[in-house]
Amino acid sequence: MREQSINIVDKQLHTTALIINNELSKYSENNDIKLDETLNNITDKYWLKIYDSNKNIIYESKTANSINIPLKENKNKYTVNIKNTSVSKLKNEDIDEVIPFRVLTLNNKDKIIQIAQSIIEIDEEISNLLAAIGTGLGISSIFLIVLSYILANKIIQPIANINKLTHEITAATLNKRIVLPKNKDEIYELSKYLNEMFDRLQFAFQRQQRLIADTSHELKTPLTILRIFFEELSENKEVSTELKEKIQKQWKNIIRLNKLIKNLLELSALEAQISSEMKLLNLSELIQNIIDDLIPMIEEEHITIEYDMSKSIMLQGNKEQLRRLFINLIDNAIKYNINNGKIIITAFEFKNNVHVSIQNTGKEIPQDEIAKIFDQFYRVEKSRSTKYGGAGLGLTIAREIVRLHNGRISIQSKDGFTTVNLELPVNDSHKA
Amino acid sequence: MRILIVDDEQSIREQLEDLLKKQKYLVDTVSDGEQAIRRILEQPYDLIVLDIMLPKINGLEVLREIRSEKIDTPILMLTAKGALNDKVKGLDAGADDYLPKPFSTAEFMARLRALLRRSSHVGNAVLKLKNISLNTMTREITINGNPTSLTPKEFAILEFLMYNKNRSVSRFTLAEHIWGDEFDPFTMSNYIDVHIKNLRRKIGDPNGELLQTLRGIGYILKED
Repeated sequence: MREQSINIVDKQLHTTALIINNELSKYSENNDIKLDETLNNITDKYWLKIYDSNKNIIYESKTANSINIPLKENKNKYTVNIKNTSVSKLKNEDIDEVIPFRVLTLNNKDKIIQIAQSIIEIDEEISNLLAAIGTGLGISSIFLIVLSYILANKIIQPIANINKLTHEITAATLNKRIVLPKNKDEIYELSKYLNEMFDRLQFAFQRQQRLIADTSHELKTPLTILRIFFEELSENKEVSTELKEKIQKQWKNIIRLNKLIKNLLELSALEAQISSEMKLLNLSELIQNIIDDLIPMIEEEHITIEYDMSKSIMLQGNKEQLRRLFINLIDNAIKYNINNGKIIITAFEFKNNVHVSIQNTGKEIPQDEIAKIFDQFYRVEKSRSTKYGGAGLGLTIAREIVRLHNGRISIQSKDGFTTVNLELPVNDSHKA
Repeated sequence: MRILIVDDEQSIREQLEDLLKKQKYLVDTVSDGEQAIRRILEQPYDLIVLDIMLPKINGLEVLREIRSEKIDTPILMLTAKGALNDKVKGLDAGADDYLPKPFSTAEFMARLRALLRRSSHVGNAVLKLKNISLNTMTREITINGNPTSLTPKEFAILEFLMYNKNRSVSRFTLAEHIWGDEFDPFTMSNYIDVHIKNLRRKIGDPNGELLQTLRGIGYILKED
């Protein structure tokens, strides 16, 4: 940038030198012309010295008087720095420092024209320009960053909304839909097609749920018939005691079927629910009542149960569902316990959440199976479930109930203990 | 005593009819709501067993119809729907009791007899068997005239067995009756013995001569 400016200065100097040269040649032809006057007109702006072939000064401008710029033989364009206080005359400024001058020499037969101009203004202008460009760039880039951030947010917001909603949609909230944007752009299309996909998913899901529920209902009647038939056989005097015992053993299968149907119906009813009716209830009492009901089972298996009832814990919940939840969990803690084992139940309230942990001694659940334990029909130990006739739906039902209560459930198994941790909000803050 | 069974499932009608006839009840059966209403209006019954899911007119509507005709015959509702909602609806519509399918014959007989006793037609709240006297209303029990205290579960077992006297009752059916379907009756049936042992001691039958064990089957309360 500086070079370009200096080139321009050089061209101006060169042109002026040519004009002076021209004037000089006129002067040599005609001595009447007053050289000084002519040159003074030109050299208002410039520093000028004219030498003859012997380097004697034949003319010098006003400024050339006070500022001494050396003549360089081998160069005809150069820059010199002059330290002079009287430059102010030329510059109309108070300058006490080094001033750069651009010098041009023109050799013409018998004369040398040395012409110069201060280029301090160019330097100042360049630095000013650079500063201006810098500030401008700074401001405009900040502006651009802010603008692009706002714009990007505006563009991304609908996508973020879609993202959030698709993440939120679970089996139980399949009725939720993306709010369609006003502009019929790509986002609108995407939202529309996603919504259509959710429609199809919901339909398929509901149909599957209905199928399970309907099938279960339909199975109940034939099961009743079978049951009554078996029971009447047990009463029939023509049937031998031996056969009656065999019949009794086959009961187990009817009972399993019966329980499976009940659990399936319960699960599909829970899954179809978005929220449940909540009332303030005493959780400590609820758990104590379940333990009382299970005492014969606990005693028979020689299990000691530790439960601190000193403080009563109240929370908003669905009593029937919470009863089912704790029955399932305590029942598991008994069934999957060891002989002379232990069950430790602790419950406390912390930061508007009720934390319940049900711990039991027992065979550890392998780490990789813990994640699957809430899945339908998943069983870690096949043998146990055959003994107790479990349907493998207990924990799935438990998880659904916890979901409806806006809580959390997790299982840990280590050091010979299996622990179910529950977190239930004290107040029902669910927005359905 | 005359009982009407209303169910669209032929097997259930036949089975319940057989069961009740063996117990010396007079039984009529119909398969849809329309027939049911007609029968009930022309013939007085001591009890009606009514299925909810019926062709033509459903059970709940039959119930409302006959109650609006001022017929207060006790009604035992049967349903394949297990939801609590149906139970509430049934009882609201005027049913006296509600039995979800699949049920045991013992449970069916116990509910039926309890209903018959509660209704004005019989009106006796006290069940008697040999030296045992059990009041189903006051929940009191006397052995040889001496009041005895039983736990609620022991009382429920004895009451259930008395309603089903001379009939074998499986452990599972007993467990289902006293613990309800909240608990796994299959698991709980393993723990019935403890209650039976205590109950025998309290009714003065420590050797199980009255409350007999049927090995591999269950229990029976023998009157004779």
